[in-house]
Amino acid sequence: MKFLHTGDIHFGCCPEAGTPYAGERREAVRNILMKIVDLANVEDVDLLLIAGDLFHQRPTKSELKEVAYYLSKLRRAHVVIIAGNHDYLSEDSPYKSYNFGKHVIVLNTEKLSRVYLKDIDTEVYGFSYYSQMIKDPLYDGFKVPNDGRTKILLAHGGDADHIPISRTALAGSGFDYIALGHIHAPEIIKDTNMAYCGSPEPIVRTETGSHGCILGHITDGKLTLMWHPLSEIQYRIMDITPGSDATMAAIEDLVKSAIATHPGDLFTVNIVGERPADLEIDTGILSRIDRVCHVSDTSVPEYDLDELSRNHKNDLISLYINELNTPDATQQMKDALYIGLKALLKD
Amino acid sequence: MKIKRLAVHNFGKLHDVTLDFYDGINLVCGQNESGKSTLHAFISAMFFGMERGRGRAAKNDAFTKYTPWDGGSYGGVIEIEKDGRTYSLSRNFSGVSARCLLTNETDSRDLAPTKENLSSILNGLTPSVYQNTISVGQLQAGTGDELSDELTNHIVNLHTAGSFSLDISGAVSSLATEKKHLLNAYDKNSDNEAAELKGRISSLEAELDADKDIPSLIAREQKIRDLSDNLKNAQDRSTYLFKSVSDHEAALRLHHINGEEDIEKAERIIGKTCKRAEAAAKKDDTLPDYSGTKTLCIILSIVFFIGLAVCLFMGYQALMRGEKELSYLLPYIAGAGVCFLAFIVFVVLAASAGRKKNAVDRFCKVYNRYMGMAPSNELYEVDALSDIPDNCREHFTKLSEEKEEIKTLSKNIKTYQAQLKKLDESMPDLRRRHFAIEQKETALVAVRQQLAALNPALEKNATIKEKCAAIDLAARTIEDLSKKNIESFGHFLEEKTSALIASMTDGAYSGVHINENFDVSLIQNMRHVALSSVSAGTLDQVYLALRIACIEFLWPDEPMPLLLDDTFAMYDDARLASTLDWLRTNYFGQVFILSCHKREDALLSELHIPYKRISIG
Repeated sequence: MKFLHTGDIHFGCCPEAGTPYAGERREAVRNILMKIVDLANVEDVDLLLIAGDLFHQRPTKSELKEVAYYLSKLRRAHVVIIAGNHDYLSEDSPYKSYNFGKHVIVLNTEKLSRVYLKDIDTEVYGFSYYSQMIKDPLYDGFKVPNDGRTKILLAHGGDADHIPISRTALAGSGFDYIALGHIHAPEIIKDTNMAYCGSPEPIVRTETGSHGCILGHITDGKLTLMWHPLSEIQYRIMDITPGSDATMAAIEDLVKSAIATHPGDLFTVNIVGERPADLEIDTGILSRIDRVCHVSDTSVPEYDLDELSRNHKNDLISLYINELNTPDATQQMKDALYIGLKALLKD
Repeated sequence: MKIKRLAVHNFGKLHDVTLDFYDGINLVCGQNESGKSTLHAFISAMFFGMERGRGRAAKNDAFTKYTPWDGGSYGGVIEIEKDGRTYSLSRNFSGVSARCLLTNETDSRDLAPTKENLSSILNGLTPSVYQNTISVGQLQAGTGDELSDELTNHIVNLHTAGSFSLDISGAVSSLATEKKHLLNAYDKNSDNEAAELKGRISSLEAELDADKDIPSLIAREQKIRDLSDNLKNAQDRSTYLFKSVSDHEAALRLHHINGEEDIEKAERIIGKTCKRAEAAAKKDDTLPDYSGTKTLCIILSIVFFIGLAVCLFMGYQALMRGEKELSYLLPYIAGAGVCFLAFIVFVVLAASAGRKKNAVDRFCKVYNRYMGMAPSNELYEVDALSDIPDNCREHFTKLSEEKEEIKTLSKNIKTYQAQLKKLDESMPDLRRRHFAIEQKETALVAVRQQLAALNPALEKNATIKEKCAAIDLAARTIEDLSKKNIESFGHFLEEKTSALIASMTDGAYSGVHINENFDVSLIQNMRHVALSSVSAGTLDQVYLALRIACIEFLWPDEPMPLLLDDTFAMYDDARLASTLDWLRTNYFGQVFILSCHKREDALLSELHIPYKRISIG
């Protein structure tokens, strides 16, 4: 039995809102479902698993219609879906009773339910969220009997506010595969038959690394999993510590050359550590570089505070350093320390 | 810090002059114009360097003023001792070959003449601190108000910035400028817009929360479907029952049963009829049964009866005629006997043939009455006929049951219809309300997206706010510290100067008072004496005392050289003697007295104060 495991698609999400990349990111999130369907057709899978958060928020009728259209393009795969904390169900939600077509099953109960797919002799278990938060470890204590049928659990959660999951306990619950959703970083959990598929298209800039979906195969109870990258872009983070001879132009070049090696990807640039005291970081220059989506500067000027204190022991600078350079200094105090020193040491 | 030696290569009028200094009092004597002030300027230039001005201003600047008269290398070397190490600082000011060398002579090590290194060797001395503390000239102004003003100015200069080598107000104002720049980039519109959007989001959320009480549309629709199903079932059942009732009634009508009593009557009649029919059928079921048989039998019995009568009449006549002969009578007797037998046979036949027909006819008649039609095979329809009373009873039972059910059903139907009507009537409103909810949800999504689109601007604003808060904290800290410092400085200055003045004037003045505006007055016999009313010499003493107090404030741990450039011109001999004596006992640093008078020389010798006399010019 061949399956494709995805989830956390967040259809309708608009990442990078307010930035020049908003449009392309929104489209990438829209298109990823079509890419998944295409892949399912090309790989000729029997089953498409969607482990929650198919929609970014509780879907409107028109969003349901669009997704149903995409899913209708599947040539022969069954689809089993659960609703997650973002697209959680309620009695009145159109999602709960929406007819996606005969091949699509939404496990729309609040308690564990299952569907048996006769042609592939597979049972898929799961339940849907009916609220944004579930703090109870609802997956703990699951056990399924071994009756020869292939058994798959669709689950969503794994943090404190969204069904805490004990990985060891769940791994021993008897399922042939546990398709997890909610955590956006993909992870095939070692030595278990569980995996987080992650968001197939990253939706915030902190979701770095490869994003895609998981192709799996169960033959005679033996599970094989394969990672399949699918995302339009990757988010990358560049931490730059300016050296003693750094200049803004040099930093700009550094960023540009990194961007050139990963065309299309989006970059977060963090200026960190100590920088030469005479280097002023102009985050504006960096954030205007094409494909840079965020710039932060937490670097501090490279002052030798002890030496400054010694050299200025009779004047305000040593007092100023003493006042602000305390072990329990807040970030604001640290910032103030360097800003004030710069002003005081100005010629 | 000590100045050990000066080597002037060329500086103003000075050419190739080397001076070694003593740790205590150094008296540098020379006539007017011998170069004492040039030497003073040289020290300053060696400490802090000297740059050529530009344009018109260059005409009168120090660089031009001290350009060597005789040419040659413009500059020299100064040797400074600091923390037990000797440093030599060599400077050349002339244009292209301008340079500055700093050597640690003790360790024979060249040091980079950086600001930090120089500041460290010079104890943080800056030109303005130098001007206001260790370098003491004669007060420039003449006397009176101008003099005291200048003194006040000096103190103010000391406390505001110069004394700390830092431009506090400059720093604070540069912070203010930086904040202003930052705030220029602050996107107030985004803030306003975000606040408005947040307001809309919370009001939409509140509305949606209130809308939670609106009944579920899907549940309502399901209820309507259920009710409609119930109604339809009831109606279908009712229709069926009406038909069934009319069927029952038709059946009863067909059986000619109008009431329970009819059934009993029918049961009696049918019972009897069926019995007879069955009996008839049992008795003779081989006899052909057609109407002619009976008639034939009757005719034949009549014929035979007539034959019998004829035989008997003829026999009687024969008897009467007297015929006694049996053989003559026998034919008549035999004929009568045969006819009699035949008569009996036919009478019996006729009687039996009639009974069966009667029974059948009766059966047919009863059958026809109760079944509404002729039996197809009368004798075999007995069962059907005999079932009729029971059937009719059943019809009656069903009829009453079904009529009862119809009554209940029609009541239910009315209830369903009423409920449905109510629900149907409520649907448009409910649909409208759910449509409104959908609209609100859509609006909420849109507003949230709008808010998200503002995020980058808001993040930027937040960064600006944080940075502004840090700037505010920096400025506040600087101001607080400098205020605290000034307060302690003012207090220190008053105390120290008071002590100095008391000892310098041998108690003639018990001290000074410095108010918050740094107006200085002297205290004599518990009275404040305005500076404007004291002599120029006393003013000079106050001036010196203030400077020394400042030096002690700034360098409490380290003796600094004190350069007194013609400072004592206004002193009378007694005042000069006491001041020199005071310096010997109270000032621990090097003292350089630059003077053109012989008085100092004489007084120092007279007072047996150790000193080194250095002549120039």
